[in-house]
Amino acid sequence: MNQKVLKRIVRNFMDTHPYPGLKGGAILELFNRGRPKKVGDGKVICVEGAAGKGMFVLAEGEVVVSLRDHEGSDREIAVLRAPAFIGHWSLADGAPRSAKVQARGEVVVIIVDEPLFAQLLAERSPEGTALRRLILVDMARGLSMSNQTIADLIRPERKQEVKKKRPSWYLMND
Amino acid sequence: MITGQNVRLLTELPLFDGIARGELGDLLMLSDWQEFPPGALVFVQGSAARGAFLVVEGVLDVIVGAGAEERAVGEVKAGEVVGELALFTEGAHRSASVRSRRRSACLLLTRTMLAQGSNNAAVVAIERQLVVSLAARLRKSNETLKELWREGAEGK
Repeated sequence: MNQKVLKRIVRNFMDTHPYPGLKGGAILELFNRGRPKKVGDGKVICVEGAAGKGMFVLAEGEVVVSLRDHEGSDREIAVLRAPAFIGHWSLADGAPRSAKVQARGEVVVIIVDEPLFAQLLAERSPEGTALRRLILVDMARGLSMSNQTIADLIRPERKQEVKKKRPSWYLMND
Repeated sequence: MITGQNVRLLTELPLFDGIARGELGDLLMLSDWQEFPPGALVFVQGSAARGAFLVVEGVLDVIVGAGAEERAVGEVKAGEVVGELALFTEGAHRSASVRSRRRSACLLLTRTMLAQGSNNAAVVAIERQLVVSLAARLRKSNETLKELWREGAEGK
């Protein structure tokens, strides 16, 4: 991938996933170790219920997250826009993908496959540190949002108001 | 607090399997060793969150509410971390209180400490464990959310 484009993507991640001491150079190295791929409109990136074989850095574009309902139809629950991470939970805890993720328009992802993810997670290198901290910031934010929604849902005075909202974008994005 | 006894306690945690004593000594130097008698509050629900606690010895209870409304919602054992959202979110507040069930010892982990210890194998092991535990907590949280949404749709 063109380094100029990659540096712009790195800046986007630094803006949206800030962490003290996290260096742009380390994130650039991390992304250079992954495999960039263009994904066409409508192509499925993650299949609900499948084993996780890799995680995806959503570098450009947007994806639709959907769940299969009890009648077997896909129901859209969120749209995720770059910069974002997809599919990292499955690699972290070994559980199956919890949702389907599909490209809306052309998107660019950087694939971090399972062996590379495992290696980076245990690595002392700047890239390993960058991966751990970026996804920790991402997951901590998601958990805070999720906890807040749960707290609101169980408070009777907020229940009706929250019920009208869509689930948060973070819900089931793996 | 670096003592032979404290390093030995760290070596007994599966989290640090295979990590050299020197690295664990460095971890002790970077972080703050804190001990809590039975019944002592480690942190209080609603307070500003400034760090996470790695339990080295003992057990902590996670509780919500206070007084007659108090309810235990979990426990944290040796080798586990509590309060970790403080490390990765800005301006976080504690969503629950944590109290020592019996005499317990913890390492206080902060952002500064993690940044200084980026090359320390014990810090890498802690971060790696946090990735796994946060993924599991997210799934659990999402299951709870799905259940609540389903109840909402059914008009419960």
